[in-house]
Amino acid sequence: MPKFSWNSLKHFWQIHVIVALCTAVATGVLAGALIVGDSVRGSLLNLTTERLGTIQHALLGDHFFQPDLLSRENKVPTILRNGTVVVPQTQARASKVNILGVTDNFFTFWETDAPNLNKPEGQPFNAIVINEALQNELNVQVGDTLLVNMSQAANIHPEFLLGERDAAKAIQSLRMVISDIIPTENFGRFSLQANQSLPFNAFISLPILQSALGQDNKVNVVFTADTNALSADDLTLTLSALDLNIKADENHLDIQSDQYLLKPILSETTLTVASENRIPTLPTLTYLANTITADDKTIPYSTIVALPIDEGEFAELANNHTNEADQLAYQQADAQGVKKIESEKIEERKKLREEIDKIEKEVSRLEKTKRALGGTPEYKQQVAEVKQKLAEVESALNAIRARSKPDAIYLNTWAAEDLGASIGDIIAVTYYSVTAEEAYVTEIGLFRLKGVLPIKGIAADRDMIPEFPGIHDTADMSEWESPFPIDYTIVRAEDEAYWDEYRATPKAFIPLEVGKRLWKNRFGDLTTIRLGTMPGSDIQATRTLFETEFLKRIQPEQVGFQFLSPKAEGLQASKGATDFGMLFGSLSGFIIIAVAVLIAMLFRVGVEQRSREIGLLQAVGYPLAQIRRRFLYEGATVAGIGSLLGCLFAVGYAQLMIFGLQTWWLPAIGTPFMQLHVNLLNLSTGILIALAVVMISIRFIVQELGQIPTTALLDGETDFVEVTLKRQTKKAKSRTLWSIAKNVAVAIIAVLFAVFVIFDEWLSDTFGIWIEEPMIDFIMFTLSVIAVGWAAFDRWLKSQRVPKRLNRMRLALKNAARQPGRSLTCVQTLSLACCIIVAVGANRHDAPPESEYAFVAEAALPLHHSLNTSDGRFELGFSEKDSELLNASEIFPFRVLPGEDVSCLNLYQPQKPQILGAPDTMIAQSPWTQLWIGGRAEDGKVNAIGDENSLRWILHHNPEDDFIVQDEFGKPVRLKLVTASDSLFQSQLIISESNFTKFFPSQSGYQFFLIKTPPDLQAETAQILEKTLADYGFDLTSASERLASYRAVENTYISTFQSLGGLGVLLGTFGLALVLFRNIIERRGELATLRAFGFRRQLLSRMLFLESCFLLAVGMLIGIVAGLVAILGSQGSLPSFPWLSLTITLLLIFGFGIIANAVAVAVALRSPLLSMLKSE
Amino acid sequence: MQQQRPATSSLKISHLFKDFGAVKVLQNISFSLTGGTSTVITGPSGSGKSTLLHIIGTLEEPSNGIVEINNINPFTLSEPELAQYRNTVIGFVFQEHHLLPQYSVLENVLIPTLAFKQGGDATERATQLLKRVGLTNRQSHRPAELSGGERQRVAIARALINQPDILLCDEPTGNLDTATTDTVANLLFELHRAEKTILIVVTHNLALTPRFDQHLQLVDGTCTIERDT
Repeated sequence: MPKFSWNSLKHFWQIHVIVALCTAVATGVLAGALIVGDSVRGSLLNLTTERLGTIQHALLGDHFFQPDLLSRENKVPTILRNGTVVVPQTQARASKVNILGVTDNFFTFWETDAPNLNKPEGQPFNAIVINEALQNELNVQVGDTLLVNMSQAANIHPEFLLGERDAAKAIQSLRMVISDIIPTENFGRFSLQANQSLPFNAFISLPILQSALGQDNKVNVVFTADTNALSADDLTLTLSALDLNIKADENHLDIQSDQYLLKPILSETTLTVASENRIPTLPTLTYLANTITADDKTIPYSTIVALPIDEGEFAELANNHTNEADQLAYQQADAQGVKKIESEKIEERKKLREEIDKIEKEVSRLEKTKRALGGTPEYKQQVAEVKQKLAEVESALNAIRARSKPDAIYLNTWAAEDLGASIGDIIAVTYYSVTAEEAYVTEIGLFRLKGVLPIKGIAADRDMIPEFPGIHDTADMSEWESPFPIDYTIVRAEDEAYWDEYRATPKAFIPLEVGKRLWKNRFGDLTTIRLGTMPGSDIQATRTLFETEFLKRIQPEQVGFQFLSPKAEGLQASKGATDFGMLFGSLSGFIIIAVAVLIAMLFRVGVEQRSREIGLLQAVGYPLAQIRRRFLYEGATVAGIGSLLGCLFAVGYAQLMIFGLQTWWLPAIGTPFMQLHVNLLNLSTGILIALAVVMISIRFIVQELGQIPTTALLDGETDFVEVTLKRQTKKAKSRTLWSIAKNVAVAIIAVLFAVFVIFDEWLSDTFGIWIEEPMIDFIMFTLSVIAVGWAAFDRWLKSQRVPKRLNRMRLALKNAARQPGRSLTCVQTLSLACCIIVAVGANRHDAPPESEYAFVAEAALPLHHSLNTSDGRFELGFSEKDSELLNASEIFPFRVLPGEDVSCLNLYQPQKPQILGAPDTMIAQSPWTQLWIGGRAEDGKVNAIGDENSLRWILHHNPEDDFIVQDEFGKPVRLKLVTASDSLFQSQLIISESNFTKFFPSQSGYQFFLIKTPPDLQAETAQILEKTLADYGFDLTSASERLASYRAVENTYISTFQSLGGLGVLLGTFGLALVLFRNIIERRGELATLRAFGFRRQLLSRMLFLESCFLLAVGMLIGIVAGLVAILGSQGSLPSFPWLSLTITLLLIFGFGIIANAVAVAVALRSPLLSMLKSE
Repeated sequence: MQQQRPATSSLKISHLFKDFGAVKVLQNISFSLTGGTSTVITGPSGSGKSTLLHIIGTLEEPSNGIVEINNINPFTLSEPELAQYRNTVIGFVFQEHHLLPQYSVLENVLIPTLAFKQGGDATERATQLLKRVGLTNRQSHRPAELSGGERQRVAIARALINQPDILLCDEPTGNLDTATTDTVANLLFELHRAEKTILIVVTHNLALTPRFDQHLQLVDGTCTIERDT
């Protein structure tokens, strides 16, 4: 006998063609799924290459700088700003627009011609080129005028006292004319953000943009196509690049910043370098007092300097002008003041002690109930409230501790005389501070007059006072133009006279540590550091040495420079957050399983057809192994041909899936950007896996050959339950073994499950693993219902009870009991599949999601005024009427660190998530208190909120582990995560505002908002906000729409699963039909007997059809009921159950099953039955 | 079609031919039988015994010739009428019992009653028949729990449930040992006499032939009446 016979293949061609087709389907589905993954990755890769051209690296600054700092050739200096674009005629608006100031060199990265950026002839306005995405958003044409709004490039941070926050001055608005519209491809698709959505790009000539921003010859980004990465070695820093300047005198150097306050890193480095080189230093902090008051006399708007009062020139001056009587008077007054304060402190501490006792009792009560209620939201809420109270008490205690006697103050003679103040008198100083919400608040500081100094020497030195913008160069105080409010009515003639004579000469001096305590902020705590001459050197040599040593120590990352490798990072991110190959492979799992089972069944039918041949071969002495090999070779040949055919099918399947992703399932990818990418390696992998699955199925069937007695095979028997005792015994043994194995497996699962349920707390604490409570409920309900359903059906199948009355219906249904194992397996498979489809489908959230917030808003440009106060709204340009309407709304502003979208809406693998700073007032409120993120966690970590799904599936980060981000100075910050689910914050991570401003101090203003508005005012509120804040690119989205957009992705995956899973079950119904076909073939003798007894063919068909439909219905029913009960049990309700789509899917499965069964019955009964009855 | 049962049943076969293409299986067969008589058909393998039995049982149509049962040619009936006719007039016992393993003994006996709606209490008659074949205590058992002889007795009871005029048996004892063969044969004759049916048995077992009223020998498709009482 040959090992392989083409004749056998040809003779049984029908079954082999079907097996080959099934193999083709399995290969196609598997390899196709992998091709989908390749296509997503390939398309993302293409997008990365397209949006960056040949750009490899970039130097990005958080401020403008001279491009010459970068010592690389082939660099392209560019300005990249985020802004909004408005069409004046139609008020159409687009926000989050990349405003690019470019030269023609920029376009060489794409090796294409530069668009026309020249001012159109006869036009008063400069030219702007936009991409088609922006054109579509604005509905404009070449020649139309646009208003381009972006943040003004200011030296002083807008949130500092002297920073400019006035909307009119903070926003730079340019009127431009569209000279060209370019396709949204190549540079039209340029973006540094790895995101598949179409960017809005607007290109302006670089010199024009530099001029408009007041940044001549400066840029904020430099691109290069060099493949060598940029590093600190490529950057030549200068003091001016750091916004530092030196006022040089023959005896000293005053180091000051254009940003007024010296950045902490710069002041620390200055002091370190000075100390190491024995350069004397005098650090000072200059602030502006609104008033200086003694008794009823007040001096308005005075400069106060905080400096070390007990050393150097100042100490000398003070000592020279203070006698013993002055000192005694000061000490006596000071002692009396201390006594009074201490007695007040004792009283207040007593009250706080009582408060702490109450909290301790509450903590004790919570400890006791922890075991019973530990996981409930109510418990978490109570814990959060206690923590909040504790924090408040601690804060109050700290305030008491911090309260000290009035600090010392020195006045110059002019001020002392003007106030009529004597040594020991209390001097009140009022000044503005800027709150976290960016409001000006008048604070008061109480001082005790320690000395009066003449206006000479250091007390008359104006060099250590940095220039107040809008103030220092004015002739009169009444001409001051300051960003903070000034009450000109309190300025007296005496004050103008002082200004005329002494300008900004300080009127008061306080100790440096006191000044820092009062006026320190996140931008710095010193305004000037005066350097003396290095011992044995002169001031010039000191300056040279200082500059050299200082610049050596500054790392570019510490001062706002970032070295980016957008190409490498983009290519890395192109691997994608979601492996679509695995996703579609998993979603197609049902199809693959169904096909594998089908192939096994088909092959079994094929083997059964040839049972006599096998019996004969065995009878004439062929070893079983050789017969098995023959079938395996045949099977491999058929599967091989099928899998080759499957390659074509794979491409078609992948193309269909891509089409689905671009159309039906578009929410899963957001933008229809995908193209087919076939990777031969993955295609081969798909083929090999499919081939392996098919061969395992065939091998499984061929293996069974040995279990069939030769005599039975010769008789054409294929079901040998009753053929021989030996067979029965063997089968019984194997059944027993199978039954034991099943029971053991069930027992192990049950025990493991019980352990998880009973010891959940211990497992959670010890190993950090747990099963969520709803999941436990879900599993329990599912298993219970399924087990009860299966057991009941099994019991019915094996029931010996004879019905009182037998009818055709009972006869048909009871036929299912002929092969109880086979019928039960059919029912089990169907019920599991349907249960999964129902359970997964139930996770669809078709109903619009609800949110306590009405809107989520994002602003392209930061807002520096509160939307919750009428003053803030006035500053932002709201009319009185609109402002009143907004009183009904509560608006929570968030600070934003730009970064990548970490939600499921971004297909790229994000590396640097966007971070929000949540207002402290908000996180102190319920339900945010449950996610308490205020303060710092243990070990210096920062508490943060992250969406669980985003963390797990997009960032691929275990929420139990700390998430590390880099702060503004390049230092790592460990975020200790608290997870939220189904929240509005799936695109970002959230930390408290206080932590945000600490780690990212240069980020200014608010760009993300949550808005609570009464339902009846929502439409009007949205309109007012968008209209008034149009220049800021203020975009409102309904909170429920935002949630829906996140859910749409999940829903789309579920839809995909429903579609592909449903398709798998449809194919599975073929299996049921095949089972029916086999049953009929095996029962031909019985059926012939029934025909002989007068049963018509139609009646037999009906009975067989009813039998298979019965199995179909029972299987589906158990699965559907199990799924529904499990969801009801675990979730308590079916709030947004997708009845329609699920019903359609299930009806399709049922309908398809019916059709397949009808076909199976028709085919099986087509062969003559009566020949079976002949005895010869 | 509701058949009127005659006082005495009859079977008349005249000039019956059956061929399958070029193969002539039966040639010019003629004989007749009346109720209460029994006939055994013997012959070598391939002589057409089972085919003749199937034609009498209306499972196959003759190529030529006439079959009249109770003076009716069943092959003139429509397919539904023929099915009902077969259900009520003819009972079959095959070499393979073809009992349905999923049903009890009683249910198996009752199965022919389900082909068409019938009056009367079929269960009562099935119980009586099982009593007569000695399987009263086995009626709730499954076929797999019975011996070969018991299964064939169930098949006989099933064949008689609709009180047929003709009982056709194709090698009813072919798979049984000698002792069981005698038991089954005795039962067949006993019930045949009691029910007054025409009994036609195809067999290779020549030891049984003397017990029949008539013995037909089939050789190469032609029939010889060896004995006719």
